[in-house]
Amino acid sequence: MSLLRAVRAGLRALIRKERVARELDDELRDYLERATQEKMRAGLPRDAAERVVRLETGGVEPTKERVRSGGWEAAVETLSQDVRYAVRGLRRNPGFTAIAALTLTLGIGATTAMFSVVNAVILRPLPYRDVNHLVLVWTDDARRGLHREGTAYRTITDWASENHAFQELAFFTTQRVAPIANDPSAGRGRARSALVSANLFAVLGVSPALGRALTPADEAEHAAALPRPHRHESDADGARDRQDPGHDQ
Amino acid sequence: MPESTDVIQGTLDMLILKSLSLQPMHGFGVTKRIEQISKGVLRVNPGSLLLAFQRMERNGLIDAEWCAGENNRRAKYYHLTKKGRKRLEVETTEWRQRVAAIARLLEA
Repeated sequence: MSLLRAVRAGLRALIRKERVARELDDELRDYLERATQEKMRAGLPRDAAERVVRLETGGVEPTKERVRSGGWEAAVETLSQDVRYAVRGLRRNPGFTAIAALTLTLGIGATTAMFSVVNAVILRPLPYRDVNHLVLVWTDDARRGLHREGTAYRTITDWASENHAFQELAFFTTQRVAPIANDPSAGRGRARSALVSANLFAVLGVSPALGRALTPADEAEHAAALPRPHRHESDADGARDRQDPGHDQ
Repeated sequence: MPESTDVIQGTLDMLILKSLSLQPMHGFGVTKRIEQISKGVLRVNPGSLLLAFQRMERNGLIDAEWCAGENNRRAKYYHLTKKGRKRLEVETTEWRQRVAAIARLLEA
């Protein structure tokens, strides 16, 4: 296959540089010698014959350069020379190098950060209904220096019953669990699970991929089993891993 | 005798293939042959020739072997591959068609 041959020949020229250069040199020398001999057979003395051949063929080095520049590996060679030259230049000017690197770092970093935000907020919005009106309600307790903490289930239900600010409030808390599989071949991955209030699906405007959503009856049954601690403890308890979306429309 | 010109652009490959189809040759042999058969009208520069050899070798049209020569020199002899032989047939046919077309145009 010719592509393969071209790649192989180019790689050979790059890796076995001296050998390939010697082959080109031998071939060209043989060519020029034969041309010279021919002129001598026509009656010219050797030095005159050599001069004529040199004039007619355009010289050894330009010819070699022309042949060398023919393959794709010539571009690689030029590129690597440019890179070496650039690296030498950068070494000689460490101050310039540092400033250039810093500028690039800041520029790329800022652009990346900006794009991440735009990507998350504008280009890839959350897959829920009415995302513009969906908010996450955090608990702040300045007295105890707690910020952006999750809110306990009981607190959410209390808020929901006296709520005027939001259309609806739902509760969820996520955690990672090692799933219990009966089938050992299923592997030992970790899964994310969530404890949610029954209205979470309705608030997000999604339906479960499999099975049915929870009903208020499910929630009432299990919520009754939750301990009802004192209010202070409930905050501390909820502070661990609980996040609560409120929904306002 | 008409003045010598360089080989027409794009025909060097065909001329090389034709020369090598008779017998394996080294670079100067190909040059000599093209000049002799064309009665000196066509000339080949070794730079163009070796460049064409390199390209054609990479395209699988020709292959090369090193042979010992006189005075400690060694010579690279090229020969056609199967693919090269086929390419020569195709190029010859196309060339004849083109020349005939141009001739008709000039005579019209």
